Order: sequence, then structure tokens, then C-alpha cells
Amino acid sequence: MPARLESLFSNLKQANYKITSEESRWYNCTAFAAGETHRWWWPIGAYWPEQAPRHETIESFILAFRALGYAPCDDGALEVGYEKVAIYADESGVPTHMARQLPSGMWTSKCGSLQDIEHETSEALAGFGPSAYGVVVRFLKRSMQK
Amino acid sequence: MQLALSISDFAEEICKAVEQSASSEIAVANANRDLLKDRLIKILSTRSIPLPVNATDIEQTFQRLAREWKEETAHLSSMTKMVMHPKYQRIIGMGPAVLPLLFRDLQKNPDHWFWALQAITEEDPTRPEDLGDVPKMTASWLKWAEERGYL
Repeated sequence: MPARLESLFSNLKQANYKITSEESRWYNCTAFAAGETHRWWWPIGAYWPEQAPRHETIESFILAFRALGYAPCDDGALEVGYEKVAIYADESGVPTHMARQLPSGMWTSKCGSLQDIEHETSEALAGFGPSAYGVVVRFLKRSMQK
Repeated sequence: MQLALSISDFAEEICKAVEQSASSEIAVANANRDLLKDRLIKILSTRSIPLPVNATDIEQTFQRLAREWKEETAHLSSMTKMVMHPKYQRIIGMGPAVLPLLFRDLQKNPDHWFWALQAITEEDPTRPEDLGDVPKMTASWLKWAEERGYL
């Protein structure tokens, strides 16, 4: 239901987005950013890497993804050979969402229990409305070399 | 949520139940019946005791709250925001009466009811390594429910 996503995220329509999956309540954005689609990732009440504390903080999200080989970087610009993720947080600095950059430079997100989407910019899901995800507060990257 | 019984009616129902319980060792002499009812009304009026509600009301309330909760939290990834949502909290507030409905919903549409189940039952059959895995957490809770006669 594109209209539903567009009503939730006012910047989305301008972000050349497309839906790439069915809805699922079995995984969320953080799992999807980490490359998983079989379980929900969150510091409270869900799976969370043991290397990170079960606190709903940006630092905990950085540590969770550090365990996957990511490290903080300056921005979300496409860098050949690197995969990037973005951490979003609300006005209080509490994480709300994560997105992952594709080799094409597009971003991919799982919107809660809704669909996976591809969107042109990380700002496509940003905003401080009742349903938007706040702003990107940190970008992380890791080498795509195995 | 509408109350199906007034406090007075509820006290009357308790008195009838005691009278009809042939095997009960509690015998209520006719002379004491009104006294018992008066005391029950006093207790129920002054203490915070959950009053019984009609089963249909419970089911309808649960179905409405569950539908609205799913709709209003569909875009959220934060488990905290999902379970702290007012509709989810109201379902928890319905207490043990809602457990059979939660288990039936879990059977049909596995979903994030685990926080509510843990809050109401004060138990958690989920293995730590299964946290976040909806099918595995569902299986653990349904087994727990079957063992206790909820299903």
C-alpha cells in the first residue's frame, strides 16, 4: 500500500522509492540493516548482540553493529568497497530506525512491520511528525571485502 | 469497557453460587444470606477488586484494541514503543481474563504478544537464545498455554 507509507513519511514520495517486499511482523529495520529477515532486533524485548548493552541508546546500536564489522564514518556518501548503515533517532536521541546503503547508492529500509523499501536518500524517512523516524544521527561503514 | 454486573448484582451472584454448590462445605443459612450479601457489597464497594465483565465484551474489546494497536504501531521498529503503546497497555490491564484470547490470536497470527503475556502471567517460557524470533517464541508460549489448559 504505497499510499500508507506516503502518509506516514511525508518525504518519501519525493525520494524515488519502491516497495521490495511484503509486510512482515517477524523482522524489523535493525535486523534488516544487519542482513537478517528471521527475527526482530532491539535492545529491549528482542534479539540483541551480546557485545552491546541492552540500552536503547545510540551507543548501544553502534556497539551492536561494531560486532558486525562496522565503524562510525562521516556521512552517507557512497564509497566503493564499503557498505554503510544509518542510525535514526528522535528528538530525545532515542534510536528509532536503521537503513542500509546498497551498492547502487540507494538506501533500503524495513519500515517496522510494513514493507521493505528502497529509497534514494537517507532523509526520505526523516522528520519529526507522529510517525517519521527523526533524523540520521550516525553513519557506520564496513568494508565489503570478505 | 462496560461492566456487565453492578456490585449488588455481583454480590447476589456470589451468594447464589455458594448456595448452589452442593459439595461446598460453606453453608449459608437463610438467616445469614442477607448479611453475607451486605458484607460483600461493602467489600466490593470499598476495595479495588476487578469486576467481572461479560465474555463477549472482553472479546470485542480485545479484538478492537488488538486491531488498533497493530494498525497504529505498524511502522515502528522500537519494541519499547510498541509495548508501551496505550492500546497494548490496556490489553495488559485486562488481566488474566484476556489470556485465552491472546493465545488464540497467537495461534492464528503470531505477533508480539510476549511482553503482555509475561506481564500478566509473571512467567517467561522463552529461551534467551530465541528472543526476537517470533515463531520460536510463539511455540514456547503455546506449549506453556497448552500445559496449563488455556488451549
